[in-house]
Amino acid sequence: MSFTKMALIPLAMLLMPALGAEGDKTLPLLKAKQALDNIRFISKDGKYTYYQKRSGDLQLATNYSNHTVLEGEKFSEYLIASSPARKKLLVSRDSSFHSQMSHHKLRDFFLMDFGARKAEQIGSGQNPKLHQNDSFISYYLPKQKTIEVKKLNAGSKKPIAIRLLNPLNEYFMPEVFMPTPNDIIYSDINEGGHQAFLMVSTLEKKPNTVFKSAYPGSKLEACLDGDNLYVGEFERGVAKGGSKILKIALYNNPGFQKSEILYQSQQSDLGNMICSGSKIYFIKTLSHDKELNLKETEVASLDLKSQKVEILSSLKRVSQLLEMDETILCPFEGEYHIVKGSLNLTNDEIKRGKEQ
Amino acid sequence: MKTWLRFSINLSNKLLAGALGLSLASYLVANAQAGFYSNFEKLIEIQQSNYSKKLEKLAGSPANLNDLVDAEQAELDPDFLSSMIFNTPSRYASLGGSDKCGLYDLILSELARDQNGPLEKFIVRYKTKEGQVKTVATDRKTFFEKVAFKQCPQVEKFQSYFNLKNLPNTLKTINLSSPTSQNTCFEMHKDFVSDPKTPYLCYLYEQIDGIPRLEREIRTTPSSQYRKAQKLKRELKIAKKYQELINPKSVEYLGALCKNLESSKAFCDGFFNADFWNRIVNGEKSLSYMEATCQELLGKKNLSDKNIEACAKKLSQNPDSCRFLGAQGGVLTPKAECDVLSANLNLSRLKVGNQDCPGRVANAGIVNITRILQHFGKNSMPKSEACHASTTAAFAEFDKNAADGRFWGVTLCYDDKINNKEVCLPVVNGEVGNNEFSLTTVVSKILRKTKGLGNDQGCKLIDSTRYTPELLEFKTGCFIVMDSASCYGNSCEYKILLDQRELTHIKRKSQTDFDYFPKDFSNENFAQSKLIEKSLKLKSARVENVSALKRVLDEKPNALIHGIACGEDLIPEHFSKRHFNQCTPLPFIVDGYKERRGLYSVNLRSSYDSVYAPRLVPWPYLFSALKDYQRLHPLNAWGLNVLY
Repeated sequence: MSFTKMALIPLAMLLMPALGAEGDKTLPLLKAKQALDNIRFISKDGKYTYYQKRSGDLQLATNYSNHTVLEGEKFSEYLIASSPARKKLLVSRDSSFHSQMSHHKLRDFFLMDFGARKAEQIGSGQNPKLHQNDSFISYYLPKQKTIEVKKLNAGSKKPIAIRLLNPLNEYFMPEVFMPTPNDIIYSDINEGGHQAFLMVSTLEKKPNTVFKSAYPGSKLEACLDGDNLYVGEFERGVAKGGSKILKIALYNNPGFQKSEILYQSQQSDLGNMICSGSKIYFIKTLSHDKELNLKETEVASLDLKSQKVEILSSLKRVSQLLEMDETILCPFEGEYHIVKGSLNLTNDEIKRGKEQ
Repeated sequence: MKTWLRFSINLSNKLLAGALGLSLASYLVANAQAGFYSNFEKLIEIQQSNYSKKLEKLAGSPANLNDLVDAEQAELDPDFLSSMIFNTPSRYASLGGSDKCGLYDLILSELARDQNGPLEKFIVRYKTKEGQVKTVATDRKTFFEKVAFKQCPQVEKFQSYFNLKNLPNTLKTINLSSPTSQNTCFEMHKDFVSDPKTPYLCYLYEQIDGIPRLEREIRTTPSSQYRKAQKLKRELKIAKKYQELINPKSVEYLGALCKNLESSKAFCDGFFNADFWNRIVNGEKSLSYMEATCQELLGKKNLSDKNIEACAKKLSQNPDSCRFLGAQGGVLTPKAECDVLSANLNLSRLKVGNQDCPGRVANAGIVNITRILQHFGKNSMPKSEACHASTTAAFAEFDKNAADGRFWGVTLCYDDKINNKEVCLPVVNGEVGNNEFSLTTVVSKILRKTKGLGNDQGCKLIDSTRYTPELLEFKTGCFIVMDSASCYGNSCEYKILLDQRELTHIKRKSQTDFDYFPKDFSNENFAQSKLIEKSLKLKSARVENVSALKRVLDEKPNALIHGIACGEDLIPEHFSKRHFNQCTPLPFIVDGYKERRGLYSVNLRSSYDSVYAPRLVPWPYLFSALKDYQRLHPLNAWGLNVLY
């Protein structure tokens, strides 16, 4: 890649004019000079862009230069996770993305400082996540049905292992949160098909149920904000319980008895909750044609103070919502719509104007 | 009234342009203020009266039609036709509406009637030698010989196919296949209505369906009415002969057809909106679809017919029972509710055998491939206690035949000291009868080479929970002690013991990487999709949009569509994307679709789903999932292909 081309990559996140986004009058499209398909992470200020090459390498483009971060086998696929602490980046690599389709397959994990040029292998598993100011990592071992939580830079100290009960769904991926360095919240499924969030203290090792779904088969999601856990319960299939989002205080709340319902709907929302600032973003179901199992779904935000729900998109069939360094994106039919972006992204557009 | 409406629309031709039209016109003008219903009632009275008067007038010995010059010019009297239309069940009247020959087929099949029952007298209008128009009453035989068979010679031939002598051979040529989609069903119905065989088939159905009535009538007919009783007995004897020739499923099929000749929707609802669980009870569908669910629901391993019936009832009454029951072998749960599953299974055409345990196989590609092999192939899956072994053995067999064993890399290896090389034999992690890949077979084979195990000796597979070394039976011989609970298609924990000593010279390897679709041009022919096509001699084509999907499923009754797409977009209620460009490649099979107001959903089994639990995925989700996978694919390949 030429120097000139590389220099443009950090400036590449352009907010297209609202009306330019085909099929959607509300959300701008994410555009980049580099093919979006290769990009794996862009920092919210556009300073760091990590992208993969067909050769299997992971590259960093920053400050008008590019660097090879990792070398991998041909056609390797990378994913990169960050956390609000923005101290570390967690890279996971799948070396047999197209040739081995097993839900047991483990990905190699690599850790690096935020924006760094080199990463160090730290283990393997699935769904790695940074916690507690980027000082812990959790991951899942599907064959063992075990979550492992490891303190970074703790030498050869054995990780904390939490074995799930889950006798019903081989493909279940637990969610993990760490409100304190000693407490781990994780999701599990019981024999009746009820999902629950359980909190286990590394000192006591006996899990306590924070929240159990009312309906078997419902999907539970959560996000952590200080001492509060925001839990979403989203019914799958023919809605009986519909959807709800509630707030549960994790401390000074004996038996987690007290909770506050912030949102309720008769429809079974898709969820994919993201807590960001004073809002929870999620995918809301507006209507459901049961005969075709066809839902009209849009990105929505729930204001935590006013509890007001606002529909943010008009794409009709939104199915996913994700966060990348505080930028919230809605992938849709091969493109990314920006649901919430930082001021720096807008600045990029001003820069683009200058370039032209 | 219904009869008249239907038939007049269908016939709307010369046959009816007579008394019927005149009667209606004159009567409607005269009674313009009356309601339509009363008009038609009155019309029927007028018509019947006209017909009776005409019959009375023509009473006497039946005409021999000897003065008929040109049979083509002869036609049935409009009042006779009207009477027939009014008295023939409306659903059958529609069968005679296509043309004159169709009408004769209907009359010959005995389904057409007048006010006295089956047609015996025919009123015919024709021109004599002298050019005079003559209306006469004649008998059935004369009418057909001198008019109908002359006008439609093929009708005579056709009728002979359905006499008792020829019927067994004729029935062999008739295929009553279940439709594979709603659109094909509507097409099939249309074809049936215009098919000259249909009146005869419906006649056969009516005769068989009438058996209980005939038996009742015979029982209640007093012995004093000897002639009537004899006639009924003769009819019953013939009906029973028909019953012997047509199997109950076909009778049921014909019933659905003959009762719904006027409504393609009602006919097709029987296939696509019927309770699938009842179709299993009726023997129309395999018990395997609900066997595991019923075993769990009723707490019984062996299910009697009564159990099956009771279970089907429970599934229909309690839709939630299907969500988690019968989910052994690691399938994606919750599955759909029973009523949704029933509707999806009605749309499905994939031929399924036993459970294939996707979670235990732990390779989504292998699950999809074996499902396709099962559908198109002639061989059933090898049987095993461990169902993942059954699936992997089927794949290993396919791999051996199609790719010389290149891709099934679960092997047991030993040092061949004579040839000084390592020899690796493909194996599956379980006992599969006499299959060459069965773990016991392979271990025995290696021990014969390396430990001098006798040809009459073999290894036995035993679960670790049952292995008790203190017992005499375990003291000598070869045992493979396996922890079945942690055993998967590509990995398994077990010890090989020979005379209680653990053997360590057999090494295990596991490598099952392969391309499902080609990802580079150099290895294109070794992609599984290509091997399937070549090995099963199938044609394949890309399915780029929903119109193509619909067309191919409608036109090719055995076709399957297979593909790979991002699981997160395909089944978003189960899988979430949390990272930029995250995608879990998930193979799947589409074997049906549903359409409503121009919107489509496809009937899809992902390789995580139970083979018995297809799900309805809206086309926009599938499209998005394919698009996202295409973006990540090295060849930018669109992952949706049809096989047929």
